[in-house]
Amino acid sequence: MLEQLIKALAELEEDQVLDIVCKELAGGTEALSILQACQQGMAEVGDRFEKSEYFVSDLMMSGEIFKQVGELLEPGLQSATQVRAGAVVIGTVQGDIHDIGKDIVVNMLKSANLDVTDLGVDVPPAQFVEALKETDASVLAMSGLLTLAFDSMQETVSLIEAAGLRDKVRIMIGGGPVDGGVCKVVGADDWGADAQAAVRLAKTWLEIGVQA
Amino acid sequence: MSRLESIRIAFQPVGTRVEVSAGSTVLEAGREAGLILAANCGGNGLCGRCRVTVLGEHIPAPTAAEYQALSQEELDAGQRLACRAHLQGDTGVHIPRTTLGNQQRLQLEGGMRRLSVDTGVLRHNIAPDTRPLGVAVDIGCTKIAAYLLDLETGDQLAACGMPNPQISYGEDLISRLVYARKGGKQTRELSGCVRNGISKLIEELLDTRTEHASAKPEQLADLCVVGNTAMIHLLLELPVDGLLVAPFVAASTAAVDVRAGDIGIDLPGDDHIDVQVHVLPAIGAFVGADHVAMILANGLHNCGHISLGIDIGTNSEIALSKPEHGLLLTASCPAGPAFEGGHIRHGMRAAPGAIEKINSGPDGLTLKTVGDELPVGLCGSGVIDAVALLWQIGAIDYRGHLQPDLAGVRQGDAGREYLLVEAKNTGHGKDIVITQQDISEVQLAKAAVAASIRTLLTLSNTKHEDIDELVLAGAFGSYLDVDSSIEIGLLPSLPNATYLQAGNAAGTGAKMALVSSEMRTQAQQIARRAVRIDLKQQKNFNRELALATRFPKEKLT
Repeated sequence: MLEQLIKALAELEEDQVLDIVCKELAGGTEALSILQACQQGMAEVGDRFEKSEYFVSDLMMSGEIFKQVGELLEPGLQSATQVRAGAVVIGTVQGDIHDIGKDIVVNMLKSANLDVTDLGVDVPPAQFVEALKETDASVLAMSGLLTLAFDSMQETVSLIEAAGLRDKVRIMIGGGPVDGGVCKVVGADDWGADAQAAVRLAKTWLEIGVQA
Repeated sequence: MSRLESIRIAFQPVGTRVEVSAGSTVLEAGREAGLILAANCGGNGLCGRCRVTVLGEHIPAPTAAEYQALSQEELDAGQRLACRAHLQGDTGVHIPRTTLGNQQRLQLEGGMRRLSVDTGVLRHNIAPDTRPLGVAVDIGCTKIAAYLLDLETGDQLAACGMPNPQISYGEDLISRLVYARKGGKQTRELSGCVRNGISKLIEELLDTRTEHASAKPEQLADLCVVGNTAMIHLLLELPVDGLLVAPFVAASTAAVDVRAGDIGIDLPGDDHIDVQVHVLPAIGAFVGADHVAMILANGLHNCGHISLGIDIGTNSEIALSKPEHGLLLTASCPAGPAFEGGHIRHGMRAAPGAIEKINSGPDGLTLKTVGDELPVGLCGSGVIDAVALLWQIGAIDYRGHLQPDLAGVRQGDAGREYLLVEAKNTGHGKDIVITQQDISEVQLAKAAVAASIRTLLTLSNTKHEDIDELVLAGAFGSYLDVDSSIEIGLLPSLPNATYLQAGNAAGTGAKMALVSSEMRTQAQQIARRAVRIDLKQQKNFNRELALATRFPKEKLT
């Protein structure tokens, strides 16, 4: 049945996925194993995206399905002890409100079994710093599509330096016009052209086995 | 003679409305609206060329001539002959292209109706005995359009347009704003572009008019300007910082009355210090005076029925009006450049050789290209038709994925693609394809529009069947095929609505406000009453967006 769940998620069949999840829960399957199956399905979606079989719209849909699954599993997961592979703080920087790309990355990171703190959009630099302190996360991901957002990214990096956290945190940036040049100006460690790239970076930094 | 009741006729897809007395034929109503219908026999019910479809409840009973010319099936579907069908109540009339002839380009002029003139607005700062003239201007990101009007009769004397000269500072709005934000000199450069553009257009209008009749610079009394909020900010040199960062606040959305000289619009001739400029009010940072003008032009705010007004473009604006509830919701959504042929492998602007229409029939595909040249690419409306075609023939599934086993689908250098036109049939000797990536771009663009409409409907508790009218404004909205758009889920399928393609409705609204103080008051009311919905703040918007990237499971037949 869980094999079917992986396949249904990979095929982006929301109704099927939710149906199987409910049945599994009712049948007494551990929420954690259901989650792991879904994570496998999400990984398959990511692979297909890398092979240009899937596109941004598919990532959006997979994220939505994963979110629905998350809501169904939440009660069961609260009691389970989840061993997370690492912690990431993410948000769209101050002055920008684009969240579609950011949300896709959030869901991909979550499905990669990372502990993700999503600060939302229009996030002031101080809030990023605050969240890094609170969560002890070692990876920060900032998103922004407007060119003006780069100023905010730079400001955030400076504030992280001022707070003495720069050595403890690897910083990645992403969003439509972001490239290596922007990355350098902003003072981030690296950048990602798409959601998969962000996930790969996070995994590399957190030294989680990167799937071939 | 007894006074006949007057009825309202809405022509689609051209988007012209007219009031005629009950009992008028469709042909008469069409003439009243300025439409030329094919009536080879002179409107005597003999040639059967003037076929139209009468929509709604008031379908007149067929006459003998119609029984002769049309099959029972066609009659049952509401088809009639325009010269024979006497209309008795408010109704919509669909005019097929074959009956209308080639009117498509004309409608970009906007509505062809007579404007109601009330002289309250005329300032007559000109010599007595001189006919006052006015100019209506619509400033778009890509194009500036201007119209010369006789302020006493409301007649349009000339029209012209030019590419927005700001394009050299960036194709997209954001890069222009970022440049203008740098400071005084840069702001003035961009402002100067628009002002010079307007000055040039006015000169051209007067020249054009002078070819037929006299139009002197000193006859100019009034200008009325609309445009998106950013364009108006640049025209008036308002600070643009607020337009660039969240929460996106305009420096001003108010209507403005200034003298042309005060905002640096040079007019031909001397002595023009008193020519007045009225700028229509805006609703917000992304819902501008052009949208107010569109609402005004189509009477969405006071038409007495539930209507949706949509201007589809890189940034799309949507209005939902429920006058009986006093409700006017507006929203903007970034749909991206796919509808203008941007980010599409073989996409192009509507230049010669662009495929603008695709029909599939038993004999295969019929392509209509701009200028009837051999195809070299696809413009926005062609892209929509192409994707609709792929969906129709099952070449894509409801997720938008090309099906590898289907004829025409092949592996290209960047993933799957569908061969639309073989190299031997194109103008440049290369295949024209639709790639999987193209389909994905269209999915994202159509989802933005569809999810926005859906969200407005949900918020206002409006069902699809409640909507009486859907107005498509703007260049793209005028050319796209409504059926294809519904088929791919760009536009909702509304069982009781008339779909109107209204052309440059913003320009029409500007003209209406140019010649009427009553219309200016109404524009103010629209701007004041309109409620701006921040779609991003709606909890389920991103989910709606994801769902709307898919194709409607129920296909149209």
